[in-house]
Amino acid sequence: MNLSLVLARLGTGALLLTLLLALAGMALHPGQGYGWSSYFDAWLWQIIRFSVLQAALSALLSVVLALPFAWALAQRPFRGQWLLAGFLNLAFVLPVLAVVLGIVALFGRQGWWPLETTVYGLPGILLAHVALNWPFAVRLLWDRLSQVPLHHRRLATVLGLSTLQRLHRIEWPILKTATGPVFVLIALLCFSSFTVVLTLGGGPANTNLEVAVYQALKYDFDARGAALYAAFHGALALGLMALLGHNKVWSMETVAQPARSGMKRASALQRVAIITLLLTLLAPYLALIQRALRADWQWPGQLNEALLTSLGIASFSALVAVLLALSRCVSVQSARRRSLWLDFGVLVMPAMVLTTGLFLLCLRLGWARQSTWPLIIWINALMAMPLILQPIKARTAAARNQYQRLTRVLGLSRWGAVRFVYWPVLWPVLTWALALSAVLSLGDMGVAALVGQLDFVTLPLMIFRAMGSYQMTLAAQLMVGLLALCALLLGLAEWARGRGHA
Amino acid sequence: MMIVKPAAATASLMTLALAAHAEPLTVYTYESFVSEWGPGPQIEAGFEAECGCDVEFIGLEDGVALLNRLRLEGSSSQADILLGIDDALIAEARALNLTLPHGLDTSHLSLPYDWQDAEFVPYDYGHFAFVYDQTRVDNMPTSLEELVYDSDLSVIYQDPRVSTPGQGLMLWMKSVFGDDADDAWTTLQERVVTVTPGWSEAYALFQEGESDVVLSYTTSPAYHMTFEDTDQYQAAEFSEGHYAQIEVAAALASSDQPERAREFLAFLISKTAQDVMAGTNWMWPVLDGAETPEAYDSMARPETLYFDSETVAENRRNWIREWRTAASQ
Repeated sequence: MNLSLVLARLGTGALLLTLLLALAGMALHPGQGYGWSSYFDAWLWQIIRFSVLQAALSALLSVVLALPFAWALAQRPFRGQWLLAGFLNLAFVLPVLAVVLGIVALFGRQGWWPLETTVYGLPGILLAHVALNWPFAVRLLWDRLSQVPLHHRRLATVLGLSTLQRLHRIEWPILKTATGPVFVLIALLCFSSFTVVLTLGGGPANTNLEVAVYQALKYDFDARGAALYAAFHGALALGLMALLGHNKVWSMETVAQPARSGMKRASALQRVAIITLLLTLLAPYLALIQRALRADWQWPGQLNEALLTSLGIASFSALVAVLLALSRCVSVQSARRRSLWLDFGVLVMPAMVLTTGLFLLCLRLGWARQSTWPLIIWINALMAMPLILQPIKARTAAARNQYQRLTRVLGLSRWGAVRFVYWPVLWPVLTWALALSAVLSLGDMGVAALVGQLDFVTLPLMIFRAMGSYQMTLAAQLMVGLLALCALLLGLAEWARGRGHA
Repeated sequence: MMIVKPAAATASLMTLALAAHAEPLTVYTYESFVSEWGPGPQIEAGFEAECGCDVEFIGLEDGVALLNRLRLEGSSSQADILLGIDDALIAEARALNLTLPHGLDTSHLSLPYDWQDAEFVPYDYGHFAFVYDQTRVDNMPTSLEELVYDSDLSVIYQDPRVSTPGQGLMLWMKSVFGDDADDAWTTLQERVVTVTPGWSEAYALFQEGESDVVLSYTTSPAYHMTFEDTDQYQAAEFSEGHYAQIEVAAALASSDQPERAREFLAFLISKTAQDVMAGTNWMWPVLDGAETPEAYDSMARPETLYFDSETVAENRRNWIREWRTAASQ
């Protein structure tokens, strides 16, 4: 049998098996649950309303704030714009806890600009979501606007259109079609938000469905409740995804614009936009660093162990994520609808349910202690996979279209084709994907918090525990360390991509 | 073959003996019990010296989380002892059929209300109270009703689903307001800054100045008097009475060293262990004559409110739903 087909089947099988095993584990949950009707109370509608409301508001704010910046940046290509694009991506993949801590350091009672009321509740949640998604929205809209065909721009110049007229005739139609999908995508991300809502929610009123799933399992010991909230979550997320349709905005990769020699310096307007963007985006991190510097650096006893565990988990889950993503694109037939649903299944099924299901199964089988590492690695890999899939898919497809005939003509063996054709084309994007997935699982907290045995400690868990006992300075210091690690990895990724283009 | 066999048998016997020795007594408890400043380290050292064995404390978030962990692990739990659920949760814990009779005489212990149990051993108790900073708050209410309906003080309390103090407040509200508890929750919630998962988060936020009052215990001021030499923090006395909490421990049926587990429970109510409680866990010891820090002499001994644990087990979910709905209006 064809090797690539085996790999593809293995990938599909592993994904299906995961979903099935998780469901089996949930069915084995010893919590008996209560009468169905007792779940449909005022609180259920309250959390559904809140889930939708906070997602819509977060997405609206992010997109509205992004529009003017994307427009200004897209006025003309400028020198160093890849650097800015990379930075905008960075803000999106950094650990969510870092943003949460940054927001508290900025707007908390002891922050730079304390909020009138309190940072806990809807204001804090919105601030954190906007800090995470606004740069992402800027990047996506900017990308879209940069694709205005050159002859349209030339024509506009020849006709002597004013900036306003250009906005009206050329850019607005593009923004109008792009804004919808970007809004839906960000709403979807915020809808499934866990860490932000859990840490900044501050009470039963500000609970979303994902947190409700976690609370039903962890607080109420109620599998039926968790399944119900998960079902609502899944149905609503699916609805949102249907709205999104087949738009390919789901790409984390910057459109690579090779440095052309003719590129000019940024215009005055662009410079204002860039500086405002950078200052606003960096503010939470600057506040965080300042908080970290308030006291002498501490090196708690557990830190070494936590660091090793985190790095180990990140390396393995990055490897697994990339293999999994590769398995999803080696076979041409895999572009079928079913596998598309599978790829996004993980996004729709709350990670909490997946994790708990698998964990319960392991408990039943008496493997709880041994399963910590494999479980965390596997689930982190699953969560990273959808984010790295698109670019890898695009590259493999391009390589195949371009070289398939050539390899046949040259009579290259399969290994030869991999060695001489696919590897040189793919390795930059694979390195990038490895680094990105490693960064994503370095910052993971939810999975480790749920599955981790009691003596298990990762860097984010340590940060969470320090926050839990309100040792904000220690938390900030640990977070600065984690951010430095992430920056190092992402720098490596950019370097690999640079080598790839050279 | 003849030579190998006895050697192998001796070797396996030796590993067995070694394993029995190396196997520590595992105690599941809540996090603040095992912290550097909690009773854990002293209790551990004390019992280890007495039994010549190894004790391992494992700290979980809070009392309710403790019970849930045990439910999840069932009879495959690696724990020998469950330490740190409270009287309200006993009926639910008993229903799991995971605990062993302790076989100890507990009739001489002093508790806030008349209570004895064949499986759960009480080791300390306290009364919930709202703590405030008297240098900042000069209009502290004198009843729960006044705090809820006739005050503008901001409040932080703990989530009743995970934390035993949070659950204590829920039961306190229920015993004072009865069927009108939902209305009281909705009114109170307008001034609630945040609801935290555990006691330590709530108390730390309060100390950072995020709220005027925080739910804690009548004995909390003793900590500040003893270690910080200040009477700045006070616990308000409420005229309706205060809800009581008795903390208990039990040996687990899944333990492979039940005798040692029972010895540990006996140690827990001995003078050696009881002397430690007041000054580390900041709760009243159950043994008369056990040492308490000097500051305890000025602590209030309020009137006790309580529900028996069967009533709590029967109603807990409904009361939690009532709170959840009322507090998210």
